[in-house]
Amino acid sequence: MERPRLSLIILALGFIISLALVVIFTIRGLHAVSRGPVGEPIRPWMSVPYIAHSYRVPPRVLFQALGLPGDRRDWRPIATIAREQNRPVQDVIQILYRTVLENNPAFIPPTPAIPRPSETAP
Amino acid sequence: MSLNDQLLVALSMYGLPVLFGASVINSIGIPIPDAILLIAAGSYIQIGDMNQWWVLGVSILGAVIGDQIGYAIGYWGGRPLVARLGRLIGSQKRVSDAEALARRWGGFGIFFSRWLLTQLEAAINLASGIAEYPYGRFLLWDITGEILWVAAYVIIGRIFSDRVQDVIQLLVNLFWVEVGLVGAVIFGWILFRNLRGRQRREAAGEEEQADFPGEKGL
Repeated sequence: MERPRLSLIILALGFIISLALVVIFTIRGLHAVSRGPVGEPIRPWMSVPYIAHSYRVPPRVLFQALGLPGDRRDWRPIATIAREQNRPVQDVIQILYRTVLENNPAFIPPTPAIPRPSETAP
Repeated sequence: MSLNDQLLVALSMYGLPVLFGASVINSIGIPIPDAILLIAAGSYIQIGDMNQWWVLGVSILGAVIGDQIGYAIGYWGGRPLVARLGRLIGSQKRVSDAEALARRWGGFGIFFSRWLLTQLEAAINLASGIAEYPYGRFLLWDITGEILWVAAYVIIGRIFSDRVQDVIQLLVNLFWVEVGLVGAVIFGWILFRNLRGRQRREAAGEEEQADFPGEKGL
Protein backbone atom coordinates (compact mmCIF):
# COMPACT_ATOMS: atom_id res chain seq x y z
CA MET A 1 0.00 0.00 0.00
CA GLU A 2 1.22 3.54 -0.90
CA ARG A 3 2.05 5.90 1.97
CA PRO A 4 -0.22 9.00 2.01
CA ARG A 5 1.58 11.88 0.27
CA LEU A 6 1.85 15.37 1.78
CA SER A 7 -0.55 16.79 -0.84
CA LEU A 8 -3.16 14.23 0.20
CA ILE A 9 -2.78 15.17 3.86
CA ILE A 10 -3.15 18.88 2.98
CA LEU A 11 -6.30 18.11 0.95
CA ALA A 12 -7.77 16.11 3.83
CA LEU A 13 -6.97 18.95 6.25
CA GLY A 14 -8.58 21.48 3.89
CA PHE A 15 -11.68 19.29 3.67
CA ILE A 16 -11.90 18.90 7.46
CA ILE A 17 -11.37 22.64 8.09
CA SER A 18 -14.05 23.50 5.50
CA LEU A 19 -16.52 21.14 7.18
CA ALA A 20 -15.61 22.64 10.56
CA LEU A 21 -16.36 26.11 9.16
CA VAL A 22 -19.79 24.90 8.00
CA VAL A 23 -20.61 23.34 11.38
CA ILE A 24 -19.27 26.20 13.54
CA PHE A 25 -20.92 29.01 11.58
CA THR A 26 -24.21 27.11 11.20
CA ILE A 27 -24.35 26.75 15.00
CA ARG A 28 -23.41 30.43 15.48
CA GLY A 29 -26.04 31.49 12.93
CA LEU A 30 -28.75 29.41 14.61
CA HIS A 31 -27.69 30.84 17.96
CA ALA A 32 -28.02 34.38 16.59
CA VAL A 33 -31.59 33.83 15.40
CA SER A 34 -32.78 31.69 18.32
CA ARG A 35 -31.91 34.19 21.02
CA GLY A 36 -35.48 33.96 22.27
CA PRO A 37 -36.47 36.68 24.73
CA VAL A 38 -32.86 37.89 25.10
CA GLY A 39 -32.40 41.29 23.46
CA GLU A 40 -29.77 41.85 20.78
CA PRO A 41 -26.65 43.70 21.89
CA ILE A 42 -26.76 47.50 21.63
CA ARG A 43 -24.21 48.60 19.02
CA PRO A 44 -22.68 52.02 18.26
CA TRP A 45 -24.50 52.24 14.88
CA MET A 46 -27.96 52.05 16.46
CA SER A 47 -30.08 55.17 16.82
CA VAL A 48 -32.21 55.88 19.89
CA PRO A 49 -35.55 55.32 18.05
CA TYR A 50 -34.24 51.98 16.71
CA ILE A 51 -33.15 50.86 20.20
CA ALA A 52 -36.55 51.92 21.55
CA HIS A 53 -38.28 49.89 18.81
CA SER A 54 -36.03 46.87 19.32
CA TYR A 55 -36.41 46.83 23.14
CA ARG A 56 -40.02 47.96 23.21
CA VAL A 57 -39.61 51.05 25.35
CA PRO A 58 -40.78 54.60 24.57
CA PRO A 59 -38.04 56.58 22.74
CA ARG A 60 -38.70 59.52 25.05
CA VAL A 61 -37.30 57.75 28.15
CA LEU A 62 -34.10 56.78 26.33
CA PHE A 63 -33.59 60.34 25.06
CA GLN A 64 -34.20 61.65 28.58
CA ALA A 65 -31.68 59.19 30.05
CA LEU A 66 -29.07 60.61 27.67
CA GLY A 67 -30.02 64.16 28.55
CA LEU A 68 -31.51 64.87 25.12
CA PRO A 69 -34.87 66.37 24.19
CA GLY A 70 -37.21 63.51 23.26
CA ASP A 71 -37.33 63.99 19.52
CA ARG A 72 -38.34 60.92 17.59
CA ARG A 73 -36.80 62.42 14.44
CA ASP A 74 -33.31 62.39 15.96
CA TRP A 75 -31.81 59.48 14.03
CA ARG A 76 -28.19 60.06 15.00
CA PRO A 77 -26.36 56.84 15.88
CA ILE A 78 -25.34 56.58 19.53
CA ALA A 79 -21.66 56.66 18.42
CA THR A 80 -22.27 60.22 17.20
CA ILE A 81 -24.25 61.17 20.32
CA ALA A 82 -21.40 59.86 22.51
CA ARG A 83 -18.83 61.83 20.49
CA GLU A 84 -20.89 65.03 20.74
CA GLN A 85 -21.35 64.50 24.50
CA ASN A 86 -17.64 63.86 24.85
CA ARG A 87 -17.93 60.46 26.52
CA PRO A 88 -17.09 56.87 25.55
CA VAL A 89 -19.79 55.06 23.57
CA GLN A 90 -19.64 52.21 26.10
CA ASP A 91 -20.92 54.63 28.78
CA VAL A 92 -23.87 55.54 26.57
CA ILE A 93 -24.57 51.84 25.94
CA GLN A 94 -24.54 51.10 29.69
CA ILE A 95 -26.96 53.99 30.37
CA LEU A 96 -29.31 52.69 27.66
CA TYR A 97 -29.20 49.11 29.00
CA ARG A 98 -30.09 50.33 32.50
CA THR A 99 -32.91 52.53 31.20
CA VAL A 100 -34.33 49.67 29.15
CA LEU A 101 -34.20 47.40 32.22
CA GLU A 102 -36.06 50.00 34.29
CA ASN A 103 -38.78 50.42 31.71
CA ASN A 104 -39.20 46.91 30.36
CA PRO A 105 -38.94 44.28 33.12
CA ALA A 106 -39.46 41.51 30.54
CA PHE A 107 -36.23 42.49 28.79
CA ILE A 108 -33.34 40.11 29.25
CA PRO A 109 -29.97 41.81 28.60
CA PRO A 110 -27.62 39.97 26.23
CA THR A 111 -24.73 40.09 28.66
CA PRO A 112 -24.74 39.13 32.35
CA ALA A 113 -22.48 42.12 33.06
CA ILE A 114 -25.50 44.46 33.07
CA PRO A 115 -27.16 44.23 36.50
CA ARG A 116 -30.91 44.66 36.90
CA PRO A 117 -31.93 47.84 38.80
CA SER A 118 -32.97 45.79 41.85
CA GLU A 119 -29.53 44.15 41.89
CA THR A 120 -27.76 47.50 42.02
CA ALA A 121 -29.63 48.57 45.19
CA PRO A 122 -27.45 48.43 48.34
CA MET B 1 -15.88 49.95 14.76
CA SER B 2 -16.17 47.32 12.04
CA LEU B 3 -16.82 48.24 8.40
CA ASN B 4 -20.42 47.06 8.81
CA ASP B 5 -20.90 49.35 11.82
CA GLN B 6 -19.33 52.31 10.00
CA LEU B 7 -21.63 51.81 7.02
CA LEU B 8 -24.66 51.60 9.30
CA VAL B 9 -23.58 54.77 11.11
CA ALA B 10 -23.29 56.50 7.71
CA LEU B 11 -26.76 55.24 6.76
CA SER B 12 -28.26 56.63 9.99
CA MET B 13 -26.52 59.97 9.44
CA TYR B 14 -26.97 60.54 5.71
CA GLY B 15 -29.70 58.11 4.59
CA LEU B 16 -30.47 57.69 0.90
CA PRO B 17 -27.18 58.99 -0.60
CA VAL B 18 -25.33 56.25 1.32
CA LEU B 19 -27.71 53.59 -0.03
CA PHE B 20 -27.25 54.92 -3.56
CA GLY B 21 -23.46 55.11 -3.31
CA ALA B 22 -23.12 51.63 -1.82
CA SER B 23 -25.36 50.13 -4.52
CA VAL B 24 -23.35 51.74 -7.35
CA ILE B 25 -19.96 50.77 -5.87
CA ASN B 26 -21.04 47.20 -5.15
CA SER B 27 -22.47 46.70 -8.64
CA ILE B 28 -19.26 47.97 -10.24
CA GLY B 29 -17.48 45.14 -8.45
CA ILE B 30 -15.94 46.67 -5.34
CA PRO B 31 -17.28 44.49 -2.50
CA ILE B 32 -19.32 46.60 -0.09
CA PRO B 33 -21.85 44.81 2.15
CA ASP B 34 -24.85 46.65 0.70
CA ALA B 35 -27.23 43.85 1.78
CA ILE B 36 -26.89 44.90 5.42
CA LEU B 37 -27.70 48.49 4.47
CA LEU B 38 -30.86 47.32 2.70
CA ILE B 39 -31.87 45.28 5.76
CA ALA B 40 -31.30 48.28 8.04
CA ALA B 41 -33.21 50.50 5.60
CA GLY B 42 -36.11 47.99 5.72
CA SER B 43 -36.11 48.33 9.50
CA TYR B 44 -36.06 52.15 9.27
CA ILE B 45 -39.03 52.00 6.88
CA GLN B 46 -40.91 49.90 9.43
CA ILE B 47 -40.14 52.36 12.23
CA GLY B 48 -41.10 55.33 10.07
CA ASP B 49 -37.73 56.94 9.45
CA MET B 50 -37.49 56.18 5.73
CA ASN B 51 -39.92 56.10 2.85
CA GLN B 52 -40.27 52.66 1.27
CA TRP B 53 -40.56 53.90 -2.33
CA TRP B 54 -37.55 56.18 -2.03
CA VAL B 55 -35.46 53.36 -0.57
CA LEU B 56 -36.51 50.92 -3.31
CA GLY B 57 -36.12 53.49 -6.09
CA VAL B 58 -32.72 54.84 -5.02
CA SER B 59 -31.24 51.38 -4.31
CA ILE B 60 -32.47 49.86 -7.59
CA LEU B 61 -31.30 52.93 -9.53
CA GLY B 62 -27.85 52.78 -7.90
CA ALA B 63 -27.45 49.06 -8.59
CA VAL B 64 -28.60 49.42 -12.22
CA ILE B 65 -26.26 52.40 -12.84
CA GLY B 66 -23.33 50.39 -11.40
CA ASP B 67 -24.20 47.50 -13.72
CA GLN B 68 -24.33 49.82 -16.75
CA ILE B 69 -20.86 51.14 -15.86
CA GLY B 70 -19.59 47.54 -15.83
CA TYR B 71 -21.27 46.78 -19.16
CA ALA B 72 -19.86 50.00 -20.69
CA ILE B 73 -16.32 49.17 -19.49
CA GLY B 74 -16.61 45.75 -21.16
CA TYR B 75 -18.20 47.18 -24.31
CA TRP B 76 -15.92 50.17 -24.87
CA GLY B 77 -12.77 49.01 -23.12
CA GLY B 78 -12.85 45.43 -24.37
CA ARG B 79 -10.48 42.68 -23.30
CA PRO B 80 -7.27 44.75 -22.77
CA LEU B 81 -8.92 46.98 -20.20
CA VAL B 82 -10.67 44.07 -18.50
CA ALA B 83 -7.32 42.27 -18.19
CA ARG B 84 -5.93 45.32 -16.37
CA LEU B 85 -9.01 45.48 -14.13
CA GLY B 86 -8.84 41.73 -13.47
CA ARG B 87 -7.29 42.22 -10.08
CA LEU B 88 -10.09 44.52 -8.98
CA ILE B 89 -12.92 42.09 -9.60
CA GLY B 90 -11.14 38.81 -8.87
CA SER B 91 -9.15 37.27 -11.66
CA GLN B 92 -8.99 36.85 -15.41
CA LYS B 93 -10.36 33.33 -14.99
CA ARG B 94 -13.39 34.73 -13.19
CA VAL B 95 -14.13 36.96 -16.18
CA SER B 96 -13.69 33.99 -18.56
CA ASP B 97 -16.03 31.89 -16.41
CA ALA B 98 -18.57 34.71 -16.38
CA GLU B 99 -18.25 35.12 -20.15
CA ALA B 100 -18.91 31.40 -20.63
CA LEU B 101 -21.88 31.65 -18.26
CA ALA B 102 -23.17 34.74 -20.08
CA ARG B 103 -22.92 32.99 -23.47
CA ARG B 104 -24.47 29.78 -22.20
CA TRP B 105 -27.31 31.24 -20.16
CA GLY B 106 -27.73 34.69 -21.73
CA GLY B 107 -30.49 36.63 -19.99
CA PHE B 108 -30.90 34.01 -17.26
CA GLY B 109 -27.18 34.40 -16.40
CA ILE B 110 -27.66 38.14 -16.00
CA PHE B 111 -30.89 37.71 -14.02
CA PHE B 112 -29.60 35.09 -11.57
CA SER B 113 -26.28 36.88 -11.01
CA ARG B 114 -28.21 39.92 -9.72
CA TRP B 115 -29.66 38.15 -6.69
CA LEU B 116 -28.45 34.54 -6.44
CA LEU B 117 -24.87 34.18 -7.79
CA THR B 118 -24.03 37.72 -6.81
CA GLN B 119 -20.28 37.04 -6.70
CA LEU B 120 -20.44 36.84 -10.51
CA GLU B 121 -22.49 40.01 -10.99
CA ALA B 122 -19.64 42.44 -11.80
CA ALA B 123 -17.84 39.90 -13.96
CA ILE B 124 -21.02 39.14 -15.94
CA ASN B 125 -21.54 42.86 -16.57
CA LEU B 126 -18.07 43.08 -18.09
CA ALA B 127 -18.48 39.82 -20.00
CA SER B 128 -21.85 40.95 -21.41
CA GLY B 129 -20.22 44.16 -22.64
CA ILE B 130 -17.28 42.33 -24.20
CA ALA B 131 -19.60 39.79 -25.85
CA GLU B 132 -21.76 42.73 -27.07
CA TYR B 133 -24.85 41.14 -25.56
CA PRO B 134 -27.86 43.15 -26.88
CA TYR B 135 -28.11 46.19 -24.60
CA GLY B 136 -31.92 46.33 -24.41
CA ARG B 137 -32.10 42.71 -23.24
CA PHE B 138 -29.23 43.26 -20.79
CA LEU B 139 -31.04 46.24 -19.28
CA LEU B 140 -34.34 44.34 -19.01
CA TRP B 141 -32.83 41.31 -17.23
CA ASP B 142 -30.68 43.60 -15.10
CA ILE B 143 -33.56 45.73 -13.82
CA THR B 144 -35.73 42.64 -13.18
CA GLY B 145 -32.97 40.94 -11.15
CA GLU B 146 -32.06 44.07 -9.18
CA ILE B 147 -35.71 44.70 -8.24
CA LEU B 148 -35.84 41.17 -6.81
CA TRP B 149 -32.53 41.58 -4.93
CA VAL B 150 -33.37 44.96 -3.40
CA ALA B 151 -36.99 44.08 -2.57
CA ALA B 152 -36.01 40.78 -0.90
CA TYR B 153 -33.58 42.43 1.53
CA VAL B 154 -35.87 45.36 2.27
CA ILE B 155 -38.71 42.92 3.07
CA ILE B 156 -36.38 40.92 5.36
CA GLY B 157 -35.49 44.20 7.09
CA ARG B 158 -39.15 45.08 7.54
CA ILE B 159 -40.06 41.64 8.91
CA PHE B 160 -37.12 41.59 11.36
CA SER B 161 -37.18 45.33 11.99
CA ASP B 162 -36.38 44.92 15.71
CA ARG B 163 -33.57 42.40 15.14
CA VAL B 164 -31.33 44.00 12.55
CA GLN B 165 -28.11 43.18 14.42
CA ASP B 166 -29.15 39.52 14.72
CA VAL B 167 -30.00 39.32 11.00
CA ILE B 168 -26.65 40.92 10.09
CA GLN B 169 -24.92 38.41 12.35
CA LEU B 170 -26.83 35.65 10.60
CA LEU B 171 -25.75 36.96 7.17
CA VAL B 172 -22.11 37.08 8.27
CA ASN B 173 -22.39 33.50 9.52
CA LEU B 174 -24.12 32.39 6.31
CA PHE B 175 -21.25 33.89 4.32
CA TRP B 176 -18.76 31.70 6.19
CA VAL B 177 -21.05 28.66 5.86
CA GLU B 178 -21.03 29.33 2.10
CA VAL B 179 -17.21 29.60 2.09
CA GLY B 180 -17.01 26.33 4.05
CA LEU B 181 -19.39 24.54 1.68
CA VAL B 182 -17.49 25.68 -1.41
CA GLY B 183 -14.21 24.63 0.25
CA ALA B 184 -15.63 21.25 1.29
CA VAL B 185 -16.90 20.55 -2.24
CA ILE B 186 -13.59 21.58 -3.90
CA PHE B 187 -11.31 19.80 -1.40
CA GLY B 188 -13.66 16.80 -1.23
CA TRP B 189 -13.77 16.42 -5.00
CA ILE B 190 -9.97 16.64 -5.45
CA LEU B 191 -9.47 14.27 -2.51
CA PHE B 192 -11.97 11.79 -3.95
CA ARG B 193 -10.23 11.86 -7.36
CA ASN B 194 -6.83 11.41 -5.75
CA LEU B 195 -7.96 8.47 -3.62
CA ARG B 196 -9.68 6.84 -6.59
CA GLY B 197 -6.49 7.25 -8.64
CA ARG B 198 -4.46 5.62 -5.86
CA GLN B 199 -6.91 2.72 -5.64
CA ARG B 200 -6.69 2.19 -9.40
CA ARG B 201 -2.90 2.27 -9.32
CA GLU B 202 -2.87 -0.23 -6.44
CA ALA B 203 -5.36 -2.50 -8.24
CA ALA B 204 -3.26 -2.32 -11.42
CA GLY B 205 -0.14 -3.20 -9.36
CA GLU B 206 -1.88 -6.24 -7.82
CA GLU B 207 -3.02 -7.42 -11.25
CA GLU B 208 0.53 -7.11 -12.52
CA GLN B 209 1.72 -9.23 -9.63
CA ALA B 210 -1.04 -11.80 -10.30
CA ASP B 211 0.05 -12.01 -13.97
CA PHE B 212 3.66 -12.69 -12.98
CA PRO B 213 3.42 -14.52 -9.61
CA GLY B 214 6.85 -16.14 -9.75
CA GLU B 215 8.82 -13.01 -10.47
CA LYS B 216 9.41 -12.03 -6.82
CA GLY B 217 10.65 -15.46 -5.89
CA LEU B 218 13.22 -15.53 -8.61
